[in-house]
Amino acid sequence: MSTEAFEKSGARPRGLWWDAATALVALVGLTDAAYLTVEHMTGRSVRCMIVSGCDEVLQSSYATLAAGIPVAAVGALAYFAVFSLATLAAFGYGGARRLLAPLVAVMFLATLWFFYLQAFRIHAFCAYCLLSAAVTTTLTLLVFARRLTDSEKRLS
Amino acid sequence: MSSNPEGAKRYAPFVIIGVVLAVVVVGIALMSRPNNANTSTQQPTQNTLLSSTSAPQRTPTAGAPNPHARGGEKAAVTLEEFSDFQCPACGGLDPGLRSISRDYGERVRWVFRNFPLSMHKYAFIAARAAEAAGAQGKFWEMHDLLYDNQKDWVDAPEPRDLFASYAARLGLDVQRFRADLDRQDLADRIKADYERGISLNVRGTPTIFINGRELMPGKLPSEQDIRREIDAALSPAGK
Repeated sequence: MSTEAFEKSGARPRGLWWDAATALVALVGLTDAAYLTVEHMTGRSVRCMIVSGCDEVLQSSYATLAAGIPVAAVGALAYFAVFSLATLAAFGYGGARRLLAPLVAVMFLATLWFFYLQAFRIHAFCAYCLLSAAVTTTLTLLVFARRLTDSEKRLS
Repeated sequence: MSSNPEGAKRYAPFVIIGVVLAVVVVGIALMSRPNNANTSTQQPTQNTLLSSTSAPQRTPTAGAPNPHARGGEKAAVTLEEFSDFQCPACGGLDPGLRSISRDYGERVRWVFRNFPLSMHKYAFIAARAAEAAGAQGKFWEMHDLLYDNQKDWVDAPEPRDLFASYAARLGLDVQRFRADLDRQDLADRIKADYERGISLNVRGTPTIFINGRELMPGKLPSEQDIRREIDAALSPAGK
């Protein structure tokens, strides 16, 4: 992050609470995705459990990318990126904020895809994956609602 | 405002991000450990993966009478498997169990217990197919076919016809086989096995008990894990 991007306004950065909320919600997603990554890697969910859903989803072919990388790990990285960008934005790094919207948009599209896979391909829902979907949806709403209020302020 | 807000604020987010990254990395490392720690420290002197705490809360029920078993009737080691025909993990472990059964022969008795999970829509009918084949003396042959062809029938709109084709391949009386798929006493055997699993605190499949003790509770044992335990049980010290 270049120091030019740092807002030296001295005043409280605009939209601090939006950024802080985004960072906190991303932290929930990060915890969730990290848990799923561990479940995937340790193979605990590879067994079929009485109380289930996640093992069906995590042991499906859709849970792993071509190079054997768990999808959950990519999710954890994405949440970490959102958390980092939102934290930087909260402290006035304007450039970080600009990267948030495209990143969250991609994550939201991925979430729609995962929801489709669970509903129509795997025929099982994993509660932790649904939590992740809720987190990404919340992030999308936060980031885009914030952009909307920003542009309204600029117009007025 | 402090005298140098820019300086402090410039580094603060990186510190926060660094702390969160460290917490996540340490958290993942800790979460990945407990199972290994449990299995390796429960009985360090015996170098075994068997649970020392798997003594069931309730008195275990007997399960289906005359369970389907491969190997020696009076083998020194009894391997009791709780399995679901539709569970991919069971399908993955099955070739290993067959290879173990071949290698150890009469020294190991492999008992199969049905543990069809409700989340698998064909698990119960598949278990009925195995029992129906068992009624004609070909339980294990059907068991092998069901696992070998798991990928074919789990996606079938109606697996009964496929199961009947397996029965035909095994030379069974297919008409009788089809009728036996609905036999209540065979369904009761499956339920009895399931009840035994519940009474032994089985929570998922495959779950392996070796001489009555659960192997690596909560974790999926590999063929090598099972071989190691059998060897330990067969060695003089393990008896």
